[in-house]
Amino acid sequence: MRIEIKKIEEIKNLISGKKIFIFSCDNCGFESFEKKNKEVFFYLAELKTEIVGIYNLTMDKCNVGSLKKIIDEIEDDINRADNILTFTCGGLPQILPNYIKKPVIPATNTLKIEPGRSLGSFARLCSACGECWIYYTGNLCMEKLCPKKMRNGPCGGAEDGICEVYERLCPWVILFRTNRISEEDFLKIIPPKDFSKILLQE
Amino acid sequence: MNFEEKLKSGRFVITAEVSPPRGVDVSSFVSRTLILKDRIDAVNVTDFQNVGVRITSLVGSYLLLKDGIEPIFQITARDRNRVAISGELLSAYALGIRNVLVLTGDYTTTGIAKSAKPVFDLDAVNILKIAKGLESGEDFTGKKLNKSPNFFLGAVFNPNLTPLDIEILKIKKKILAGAEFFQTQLVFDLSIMERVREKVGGEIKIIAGVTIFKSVEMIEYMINNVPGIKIPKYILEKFEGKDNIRSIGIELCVDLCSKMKESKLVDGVHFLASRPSDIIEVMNILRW
Ligand code: SF4
Ligand code: SF4
Repeated sequence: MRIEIKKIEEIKNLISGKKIFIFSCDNCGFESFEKKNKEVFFYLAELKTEIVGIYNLTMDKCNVGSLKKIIDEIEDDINRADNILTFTCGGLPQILPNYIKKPVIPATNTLKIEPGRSLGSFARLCSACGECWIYYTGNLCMEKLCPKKMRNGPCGGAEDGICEVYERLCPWVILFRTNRISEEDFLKIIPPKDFSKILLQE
Repeated sequence: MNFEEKLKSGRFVITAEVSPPRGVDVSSFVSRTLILKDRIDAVNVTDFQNVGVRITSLVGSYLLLKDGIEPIFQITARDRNRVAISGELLSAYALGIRNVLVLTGDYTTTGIAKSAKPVFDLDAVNILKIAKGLESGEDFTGKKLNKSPNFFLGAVFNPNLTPLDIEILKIKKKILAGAEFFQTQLVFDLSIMERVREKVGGEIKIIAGVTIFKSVEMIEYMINNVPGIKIPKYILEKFEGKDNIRSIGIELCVDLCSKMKESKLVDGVHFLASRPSDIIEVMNILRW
């Protein structure tokens, strides 16, 4: 798994407070926690925030059952935080909002997930598109869930909430039904994706 | 007055969609559509409708324009990336086409050419933004144009979607992106338009989609194959067990059109999937 940390300017616009809780991981065993977190802390120093806690997620704990227990354990730290920042692939920040009612912001772009290697289970929720944009869409990944990868709202083809392509709920309908996106955020126009990022990966 | 001026002056406008031919003989496409000339205000030319190989919307629009019919050039995000879409928009304007209807487009696998690669590099909102960018003199890469176009940009919405609130937010977003008028998917129930007006106000120009049902097969096809179409039960019941489908279809359309005009909820009607000769028949009955 290959991940890059987003540019400071991008994250600065997203965080809404000074106190940050961090989720990190070892890129499904591709990186050492030591090396990765050194980079993470260097980055956070530049961001000038107060870190109220960090959790290092290992592959064996990268599943819903373990996550619920972990969140119970770190509840106090999380309560003190304004924002949660994830330095993982795009899977975890899609799951966390189910359990933590605070802004969860992916601080990374997932560039590559090698097939055939063992992965944490949340990695299945991320297509490694190279430019993580789930914070625009209530932390649901349209790259994965929407056949047209719609950035600015549903395409209009869903019938009774069911996607025009596959027999499953349109993720945009889920977003609105679960109030994961505010009207104000929805009305922001999301520009087209920058494909050069992913196209330039070997 | 052109289409834009008519719509902006508050006139009740009439539009219809036609599909360019599947093949290189364009004569009947033009002659069939010519009967709408001077009877309706603009003709939409579909963009590879139902994911089928046809003459392009651009060329279809140009052929109509040459013969004195004002076209609305339709462009979707399904078959072209942002470079091709920008180029098509510039080409259209250079040929004298000003009205553009922007759509995201149905997915490839819901139509004929299922094996084709779906592009969706942009969505309708971003096509509108790209068109606005061209109007301000630059393409999306920031390169300057030697002269900028000036489009009359439209978008679509589907009043059949549930929940309707999402669709209303999308209307607002498309207006922010540059849409100046809307054409809708089929509307049968005017109370939906009432709800739309409550939320978006009276200023926005909305042209409501209507159709003339020709056969039971057409009704079934629409229900089963066209994404986003919902035909209410009470409409379907009117056709059940009858063999004069076409005359019931005409009657139904006449009734709906006159109610729409009376209601003042919409700024016009847009004939979808209807034969030009049938449209003229409906308009004659309505004395439009
Ligand atoms: S947008 Fe989706 S596919 Fe892209 S990095 Fe984020 S979670 Fe992964
Ligand atoms: S119905 Fe929803 S999930 Fe399906 S293509 Fe349209 S926007 Fe995407």
